[in-house]
Amino acid sequence: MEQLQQQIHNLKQEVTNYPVTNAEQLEAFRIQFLGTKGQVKALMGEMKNVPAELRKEVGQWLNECKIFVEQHFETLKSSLQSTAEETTDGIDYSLPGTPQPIGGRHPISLVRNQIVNIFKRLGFAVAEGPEIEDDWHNFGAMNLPEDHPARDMQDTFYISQNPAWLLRTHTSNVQARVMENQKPPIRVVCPGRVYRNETISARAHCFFHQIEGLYIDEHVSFADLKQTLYFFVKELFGNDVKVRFRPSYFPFTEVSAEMDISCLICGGKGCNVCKHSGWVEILGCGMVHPKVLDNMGIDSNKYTGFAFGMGVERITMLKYQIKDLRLFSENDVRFLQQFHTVV
Amino acid sequence: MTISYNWLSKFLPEGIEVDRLSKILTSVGLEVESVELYESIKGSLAGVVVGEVLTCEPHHNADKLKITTVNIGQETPLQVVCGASNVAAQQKVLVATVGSTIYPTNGEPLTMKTAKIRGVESQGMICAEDELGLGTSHDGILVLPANTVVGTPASQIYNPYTDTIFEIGLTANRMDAMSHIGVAKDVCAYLSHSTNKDVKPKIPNANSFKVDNTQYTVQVAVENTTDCIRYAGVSITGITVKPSPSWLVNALQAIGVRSINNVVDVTNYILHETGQPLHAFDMAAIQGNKVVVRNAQENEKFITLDGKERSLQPNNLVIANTIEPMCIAGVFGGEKSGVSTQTTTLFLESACFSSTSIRKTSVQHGLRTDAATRFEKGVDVSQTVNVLKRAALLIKEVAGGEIASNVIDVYATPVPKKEVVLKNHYLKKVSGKNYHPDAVKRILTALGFEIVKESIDEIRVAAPHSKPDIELPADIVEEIVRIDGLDNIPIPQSITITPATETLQHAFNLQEKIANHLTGKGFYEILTNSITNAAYFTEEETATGVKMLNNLSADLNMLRPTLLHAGLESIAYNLNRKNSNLSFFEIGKTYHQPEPLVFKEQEELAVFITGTQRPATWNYKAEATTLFDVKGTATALLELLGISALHFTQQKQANFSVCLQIQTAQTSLGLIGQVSPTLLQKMGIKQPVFYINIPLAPVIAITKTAKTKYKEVPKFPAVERDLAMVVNKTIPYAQLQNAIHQLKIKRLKNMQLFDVFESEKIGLDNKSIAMNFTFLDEEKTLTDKEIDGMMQKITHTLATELNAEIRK
Repeated sequence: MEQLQQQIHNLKQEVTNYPVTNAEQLEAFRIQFLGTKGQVKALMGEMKNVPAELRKEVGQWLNECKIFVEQHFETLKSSLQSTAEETTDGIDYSLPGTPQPIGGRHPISLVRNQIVNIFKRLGFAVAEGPEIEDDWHNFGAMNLPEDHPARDMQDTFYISQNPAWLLRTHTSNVQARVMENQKPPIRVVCPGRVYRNETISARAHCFFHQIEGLYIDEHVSFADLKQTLYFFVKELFGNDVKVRFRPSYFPFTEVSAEMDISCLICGGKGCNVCKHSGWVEILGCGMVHPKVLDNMGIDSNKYTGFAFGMGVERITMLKYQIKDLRLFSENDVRFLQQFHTVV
Repeated sequence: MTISYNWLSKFLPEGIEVDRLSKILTSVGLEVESVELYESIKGSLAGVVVGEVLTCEPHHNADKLKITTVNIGQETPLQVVCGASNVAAQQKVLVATVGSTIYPTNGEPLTMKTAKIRGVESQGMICAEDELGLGTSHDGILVLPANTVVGTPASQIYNPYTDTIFEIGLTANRMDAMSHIGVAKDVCAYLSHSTNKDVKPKIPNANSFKVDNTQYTVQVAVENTTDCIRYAGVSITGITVKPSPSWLVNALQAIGVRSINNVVDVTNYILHETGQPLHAFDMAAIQGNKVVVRNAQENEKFITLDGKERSLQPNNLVIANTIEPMCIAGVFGGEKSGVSTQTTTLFLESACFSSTSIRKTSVQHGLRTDAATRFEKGVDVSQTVNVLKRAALLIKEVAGGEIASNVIDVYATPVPKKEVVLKNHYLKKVSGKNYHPDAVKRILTALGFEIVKESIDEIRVAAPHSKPDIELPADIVEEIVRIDGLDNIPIPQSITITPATETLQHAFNLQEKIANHLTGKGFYEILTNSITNAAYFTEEETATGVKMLNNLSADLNMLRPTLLHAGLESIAYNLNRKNSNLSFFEIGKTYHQPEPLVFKEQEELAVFITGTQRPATWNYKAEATTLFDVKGTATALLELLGISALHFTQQKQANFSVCLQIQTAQTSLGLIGQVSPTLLQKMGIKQPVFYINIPLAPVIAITKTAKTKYKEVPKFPAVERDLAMVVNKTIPYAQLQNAIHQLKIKRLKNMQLFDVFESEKIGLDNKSIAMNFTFLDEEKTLTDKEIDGMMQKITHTLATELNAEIRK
């Protein structure tokens, strides 16, 4: 029995080591091992010498050996075939693929969509309003009194011949437009282009983009505002980012706050980007001023609401560490190409 | 606003460190933008000590250098190489020791190391005045009096002053915090709340104020009590105007205020301490012994402190004597009436002017002074007299003299305190946090509110005069949550929302679909300025354009009436940077004013192609872009949106050498074209540019109602046939297409042009056209006979109507 086992072992070894690099050798292999006079058949012949009580076990050995040889043959055969297919056409497949054009969205569009989509998941609808706006919707309704410094000529573009009209200085006009046309509950985000009469430089431009948010209902509190904005920031910048709220001032909110996040560059240790404070401001927010609600005919005793506004350029600059605002409107293709991987 | 740590600390409980104070300030809404060290002498002379020159020998290797040994009170004297010509033995000098850093008045800081100078070791440096930042003199080393003790740190001789300076981004509503005391009140409110114990700021009082005599009583007449709410003054005589004591100089210089003389410095000091601007008049200037607060006369001439003559207007409030103005009230002093070194008697003014009046005057004359800024924001009318007394005392302290009049106080209509009722449930509703009534009271009291009345569910408070902007319960809520800290408002665990109905989703999706299709085709999205140059456009175009009253510049003076020019600017920008194959698109607005006060903002798509979209590769040749590529891009894009059966009709159009209008049977959808050489030249572009323009509103309208409906996939095979023909060159393809369309063959599903060529063989007036037709019957398999029949109809029509010669 042991002898038979040894024979099987030797046969397997021989099969494994048999050199096959072409069709002739493959055929020789077949004849030597699997042919009618082949070694496998010969080995099977040994069965007759095996005592009856061991036949079942030995039968299994032999059968397994036969399958091994057959599988090895198939493997050799298919590898020989694929080699044959690969080498016959003589083409250099290392040549590069035909280049396909790749395009991309503008980083401002990408970031605007990211932001809007986060708020959409929280049940905000998108609202829009005009860029050429009247004084009331841009300023008056937003509780910016007549002599408020933000109304100064150096900040606002007024329309020629119609100085009661202007280019909106913020997307807050959409708040006024929405409240005018819709009764609470109101839950909207308003992306759009805004204008400031500022000399164009690395840090200022005469146009940029904002996203405004507004939620008005019967029981909206500052705690709800915090919850929404925490969610937003973690979604946009990741879970590790730290958040703080600072009291601030906007004429159209009371309680007013600014939201800072831990500096994305230094992680809060202090660097040039965060002016060594460890924090960077990313948006302004607050509870809608009762006067704004009253201005729009919404009962400020019954309803409360929160609003927030952020600059898309600012967030894009933070996100991608862009240092010059002018890059966004120069449209240098070498700049634009860097964002085609953004998902 | 600049706040000094040392100064602020005087009013606070002891031991609040810089870092903690900085955090508290930011947390209560006084955002610390920067924290910087102030040193009256940079480096504070650390490591600089007094030494005695023991020996002084010439350097054997350099004519101008000397080798000295200097005793600085250590066991072994230092060997120091010195280049000053005045160095000599027995002198007491200042030595910067090894390891110390000195900050010269001009030039870079220098850190001392043991160094070999021309082969001789030098352990430090004997310094000149300018080398230590003590002055500008470089006339040799500084030699101290002979009795100066060796080893004394230089800082003990020069007493450098150090402070920490907070730069605070003060918001427009925080007029109450425009002073050190104002800030201290906020910090104390914070401490009171966080420790549950009343913490009061240590505010200096004027209890010791007393009138010494009434020798210089001045009459005060306030003619305009609307703009001058309160006016107080007092005379001080026997003063000596001279430089201020060092504590005063240091305190002011640390916050960036230049020291002038003791009187002016006191007024500035009090301004920064209390927020109340003061003005000191030389008594000699008060002619008629009377101060009149009145409106200026029309074009009344007045020479201000800066020597400029100004023409005043009746809306300007002035402080005058009986003859002429002495001061533009609350804004700027006069040249003649100010305090000089000759002044021995002065009249000190403390007043409260209306913020609107001050703002108008200060803007009108371009005088944005510190005083004006504070009056504009509103000063604390309840403190006018207190501050006056405090200032008078301080003047006596630093300039000597006596109080030489009673305090005059003209306060015609006392300003009432505003009372506000805050309901507990409103506080909860807005803040989202439950506050204990005791905490509320403690915060408000600390901030200067007076509790007028309280009940189980509300509190009535009177706002301090320092906070004139408090009007509504919401303002009180803000004060409470601000001091408590916004970060202390807990965030709810679950979210309750009222979902909103989306109305712009279709338009948004449509734009996204367009953008995604184009980016997939290799286009980059651009964003251009919507403010453009009116010079790009014709008079007609600018007539209906939107222009601004106040332009940023001569070439940014109109809102774009088209996306074309700004896109071309971007193309020129890139071409100038050697990127010549560009495929761009922009989705943006154009702006028109078809009639006065009617503004039209229209969302449009613009596509720009220049250079090739298919540059040469190893397996394909480069192919120049043609208008047909652009036509294909437009067709595919619109087809993707479900808009097919387009007609392109050629039209003459300014700015284009070729222009095709894109039309459906019902409406025009925009245009495609090749930009004219004239415009390209104007934009500085030297290669062809192709353009697509599609206003989005019509596309949105068409697609919004369109419904996609599934139709059974045909069970029977389609059959294709080719047809080649020769026709006259002048016959456009569209005419062939039309002729076949006219036949209305229902089973003709598609026809495609696959070849057009001209050759001598077919005659110079002719062209050869090859087309492919697809036939399909949805009910059965078409027979050859049926197909031949349809093909025959086609060939017959082409032959008879268009004289086509069918090639076999």
